[in-house]
Amino acid sequence: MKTFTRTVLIADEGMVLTNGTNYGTEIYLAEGADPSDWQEVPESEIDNADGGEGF
Amino acid sequence: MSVKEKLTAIADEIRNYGNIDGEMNLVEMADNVSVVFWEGYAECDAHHTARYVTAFVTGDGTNTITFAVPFNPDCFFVTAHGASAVSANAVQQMVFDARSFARYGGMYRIRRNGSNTQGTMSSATGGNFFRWANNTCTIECPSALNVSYASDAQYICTAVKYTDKTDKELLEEEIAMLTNEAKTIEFSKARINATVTDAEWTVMIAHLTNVNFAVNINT
Repeated sequence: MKTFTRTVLIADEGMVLTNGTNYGTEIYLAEGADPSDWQEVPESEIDNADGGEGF
Repeated sequence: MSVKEKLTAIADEIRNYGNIDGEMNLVEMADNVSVVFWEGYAECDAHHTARYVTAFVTGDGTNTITFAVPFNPDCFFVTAHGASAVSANAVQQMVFDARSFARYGGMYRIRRNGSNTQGTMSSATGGNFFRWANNTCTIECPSALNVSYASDAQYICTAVKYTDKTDKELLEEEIAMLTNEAKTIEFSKARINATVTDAEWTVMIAHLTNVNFAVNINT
């Protein structure tokens, strides 16, 4: 039986992880996935990703 | 009614809805208001939509509207849009007058914009004016109220069937539907935390070796 252990990336407080498309505070990586594909960015960047605050 | 009687009446409601026994002082009453609120929240949270169907129905001037529903629903929602030719007051009176839906329905709401009127109501089934038979839902205003569904108003009718499945069962089903192609799936961390343990979550996604899971505590 084949098993593998997932690497889990956990963002620091106030930060989120993104691969440019998806966002998460925790990333459960697929087998063989490259952790460097995910960058930590401030949560505020997500808030502005859809064009910013509405009025 | 004395002040004490009024406070006792409020306390009775809190005890009733919050399933609380015993007397409460004012501080305890205030504290338990949130218990009542969350009690209702939990009840809503425990029910997930299993099936629903939405139909667009035009009124015909009678006191009933009907639409096809291939299952016996648990609740329904109706949104009415009054045509501009119909005055807001007329739509309000015919459709959302307190003598009709509001009296028997769960809630109703009216939004007006010029001569257009939109109103929404919802209710559990089994009320005085809701029937389901032969795969057809009938919403009827009691004839005594002399209320009709306006022939120039559109009614968006949604009937909903709840499921008794648990949150965990629903999450398991959702995971089971995923294929093991390379991709990233986003999930709510709050939902996962409320549904399974970390160990259960790990086991649940173990077979999806090619899938990244991005879970977010903020969603």
